[in-house]
Amino acid sequence: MKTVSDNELIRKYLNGNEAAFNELLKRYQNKIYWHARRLLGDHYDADEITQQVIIVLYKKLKSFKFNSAFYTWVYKITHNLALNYIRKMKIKSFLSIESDSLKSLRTNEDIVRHTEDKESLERLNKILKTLPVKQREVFLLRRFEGLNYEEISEITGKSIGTLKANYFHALQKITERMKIE
Amino acid sequence: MNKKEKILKYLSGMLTPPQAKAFEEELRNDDELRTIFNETKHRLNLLDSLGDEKPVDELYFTNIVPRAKQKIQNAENKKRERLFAPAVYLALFTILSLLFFSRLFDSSLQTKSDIERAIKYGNLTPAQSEMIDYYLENNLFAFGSLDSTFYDGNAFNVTNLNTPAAIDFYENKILNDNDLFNIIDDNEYNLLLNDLKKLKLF
Repeated sequence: MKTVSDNELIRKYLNGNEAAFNELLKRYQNKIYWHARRLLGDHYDADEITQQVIIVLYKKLKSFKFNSAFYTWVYKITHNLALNYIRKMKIKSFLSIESDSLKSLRTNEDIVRHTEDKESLERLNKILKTLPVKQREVFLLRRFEGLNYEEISEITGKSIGTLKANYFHALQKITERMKIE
Repeated sequence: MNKKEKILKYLSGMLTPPQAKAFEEELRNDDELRTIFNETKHRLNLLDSLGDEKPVDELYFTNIVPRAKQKIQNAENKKRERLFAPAVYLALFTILSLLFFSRLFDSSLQTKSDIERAIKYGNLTPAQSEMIDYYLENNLFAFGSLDSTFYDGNAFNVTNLNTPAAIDFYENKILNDNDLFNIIDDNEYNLLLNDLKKLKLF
């Protein structure tokens, strides 16, 4: 069966077909969630970002220009929202204004079913947290999302040289950290 | 450049195509380099397995779109509330102001003090003005227990109105006075009658 392309689905949505939007989301919601989860480290934050991305897509899809691939556009939105979110969280953490109930919700709430999977993700999170956000972002986009430097450059707005250097430093830190573990 | 750095540069795509080709050649011939390279690859593969997508509660992804749409709806409601709140407050303020001022200048004269104030400030209906003029011109206020102190040209002395003689006077003169009612219409007549009823004269 022929798969309908992202752009075809967008055009259908722009012509009033709401189901096409749902189909698009079905294709990308997992990717958005898992990218956000690896980047931010827990379900609570990943859920927040995933919902924000869906809201932005819902509001902005009408202005999609078809100049870039839809998936890079989605990652770009996720990237921007996640970075803003991290900045906000840093301020909150600095000012210690996160409530205890929210902290507890952050720790306990999860959609991953198996304990060993949760532990794996926790290990990954510990390793990735040793990286600055910029290096973590490039590493995840290249390693886990399988994007090339040109695509990552389009998403992050950074030059390819900078991205290569970021990735190199991320690899250095990660392989060292893995050696200790 | 040590061996590890060379491996990481190769994996990062930092080597030029000739450098990458030379590295691959070296990798085939250098056992130590190959061991470090394999260890590095192994660690990264291990990391991949830690972070790959795990089985999750499927309901989460089924519900996420409706939840996001609900969020949009809530945000729009809040926005609408914020947008309309000043208009609602303004409308409320206007209504209350109108009520206040209409009470102050109400020509329907609901209480004795309303009538006194209305006369004092000249806010009378045409019928009321006609009535007062008519009775002043014809000196009818001097009838019975009523005298000219009833109306001194500025204020209505309403206390004198609520006497049996005054009631008798109004019943006879106003209800049966064709001259007066020839110059006022039905609406004005009803207003006048209501005002007098409120004064308990009817």
